[in-house]
Amino acid sequence: MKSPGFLLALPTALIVLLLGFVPLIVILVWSFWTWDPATYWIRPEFSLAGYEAILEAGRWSVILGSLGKAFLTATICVAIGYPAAMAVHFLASRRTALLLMALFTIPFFTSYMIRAFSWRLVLGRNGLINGWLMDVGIVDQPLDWLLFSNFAVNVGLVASYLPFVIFPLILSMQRVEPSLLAASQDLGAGFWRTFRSVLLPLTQAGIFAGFLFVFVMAAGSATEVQMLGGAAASMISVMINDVMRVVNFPLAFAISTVVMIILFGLIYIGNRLFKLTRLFEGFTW
Amino acid sequence: MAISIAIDNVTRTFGTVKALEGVGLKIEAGEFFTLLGSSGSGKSTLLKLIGGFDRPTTGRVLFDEQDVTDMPANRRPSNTVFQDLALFPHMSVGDNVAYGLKVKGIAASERNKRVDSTLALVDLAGFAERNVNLLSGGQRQRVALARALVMEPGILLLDEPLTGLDERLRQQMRDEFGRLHQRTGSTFVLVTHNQDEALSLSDRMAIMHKGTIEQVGRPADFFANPANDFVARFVGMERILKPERLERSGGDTVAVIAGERLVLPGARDVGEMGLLAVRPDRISLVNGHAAPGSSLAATVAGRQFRGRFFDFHLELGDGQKLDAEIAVEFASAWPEPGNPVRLEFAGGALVPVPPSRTAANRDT
Ligand SMILES: Nc1ncnc2c1ncn2[C@@H]1O[C@H](COP(=O)(O)OP(=O)(O)OP(=O)(O)O)[C@@H](O)[C@H]1O
Ligand SMILES: [Mg+2]
Repeated sequence: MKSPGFLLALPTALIVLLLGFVPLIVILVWSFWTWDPATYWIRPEFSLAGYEAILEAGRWSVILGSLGKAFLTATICVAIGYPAAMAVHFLASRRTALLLMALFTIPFFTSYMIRAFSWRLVLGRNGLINGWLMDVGIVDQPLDWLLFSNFAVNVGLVASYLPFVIFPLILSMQRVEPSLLAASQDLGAGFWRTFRSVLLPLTQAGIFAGFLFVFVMAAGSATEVQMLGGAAASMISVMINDVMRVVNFPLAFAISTVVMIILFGLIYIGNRLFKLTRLFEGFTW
Repeated sequence: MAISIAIDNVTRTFGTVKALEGVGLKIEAGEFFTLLGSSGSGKSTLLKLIGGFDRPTTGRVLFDEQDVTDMPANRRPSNTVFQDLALFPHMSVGDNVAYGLKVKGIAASERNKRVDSTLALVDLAGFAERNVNLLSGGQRQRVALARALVMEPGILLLDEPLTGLDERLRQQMRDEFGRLHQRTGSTFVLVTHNQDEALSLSDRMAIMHKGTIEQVGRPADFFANPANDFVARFVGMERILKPERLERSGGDTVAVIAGERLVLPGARDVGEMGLLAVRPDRISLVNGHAAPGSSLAATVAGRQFRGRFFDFHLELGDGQKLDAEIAVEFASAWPEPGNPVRLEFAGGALVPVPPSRTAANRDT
């Protein structure tokens, strides 16, 4: 394997290994060590205390709740992003397509914090939506559940991560030959039949990739929950922060390990089912 | 079953490009019709209009006298074999072929029967479970054919279905098309830029050029009576002579070229502006005397060995060039380049053609 390509990829591979893989191993190993209350540090003695602590104080429900929010966010993002990607790929001219894609990335020009905060102005008791609803007369009291609720958190998450689903979807649509859609039509299929039987199955790698991006990022998000969620709302990363504050490293690392195993499992299953790697075969831009 | 097609004064423009301009055409039910033309002449555009994948800018498309201009592809009784075949990569051979029947809501038992018999028709019996991505080029071709034919289409459209196949497979699939046309009795419309394909398969064909139809007819008509010099060139009469004069004398046409009179017995009258298309296989070289009125003086400019014949490049007294195909056994008697000879023209060696309007003022 002494090809030039291998040599070129080597530095990047090493960096990825060093910055990504090594910390993961450290986290995995330390999660099984023992916390020493005397020194506030860890001792290299095998212990399952961290994992046992996950089951206490409602931590499981925070993990499940976070994954649930991430799942909902990713599902909504795919549902909204798919038609958007179709519009960019099938309807827009080249120039409009570029413009639309640029628009999709605009949210990234502001910080998460500011973006999340701006949702308060939209969803709050005196926010845009409540104001409009009362003006039109649909409600006479402002709706309370719009802000500081799971609803608000999901709105914030969807808005933050929508672009991540659109790009893999467009990528997968570019790989569908237009003549396949014409052939389906030629054989009598209308729009919905072609969508269901040809376009959807051929873009499932993109759907899953987009879903996964959003799922992983939403599962690890903190800002949206802190800014938009209710008083009791928590998220995995918020919880880990709290645990770190009392320097219980084994517990923090045990939570991280559990979450990572779940995510890796998801990626593995997804790759087996949807041939994720195929999305990048013959990649051109 | 078979359906007739009429193209009524169709124009299709893309921005400033006129892909089709004032095209009129009638294709009879059950005919094998070929659209022949060079790249960019508008063949695919016309086929798409027939298939319903595109709409004319102006004009109408009729099936069996019924206006179908606004009918989308999925409701038309036509099926297409696409140039890139467009087999569904996520379906087996059988599922590809069954797709149209499923969409139509045909029950599984009948569907399977029809899929099996159609696969047998294209020599793919027993291939239903195979993965389409792992088939050979010729097999994929047959799947695409089967997928269209299983619908028992009144019209089968084929867009350059043989490009990308090697020569032997081309021959084989070409024969297959002929056979399937006989078997199904459907109207076949084939798009190609391959002259041999068009000539060997078609009942009738049209030669297209820059968005217009230059000539429609039986394959033989294009040789006997090419509509103009463009058509003559397209069917292989590469050399076109420009006579000083073309006149009628008795029942014959007389051409004056390079100061000599040449009688063209039985040739049609195409008017004074006419040109002469040359059939190189009907010219012979004569030493010394030749009958006046059927020969011209020329100089040998060069010759090339072509296997069964020599290709002689000749130049007339006024500098016009033409070629003659001389059988190998006669050729050795003929002198080297630079020597004078007389060219004897057999009947039909020079075909009077009018100059093409489109070719003349649009060719670069
Ligand atoms: N969708 C389109 N947009 C713009 N121009 C087009 C479009 N489709 C066809 N054209 C133009 O119309 C003309 C005819 O194209 P068409 O595809 O019908 O040619 P063709 O005879 O099928 O050529 P080929 O043998 O190369 O397939 C060309 O100049 C082409 O560039
Ligand atoms: Mg074409």
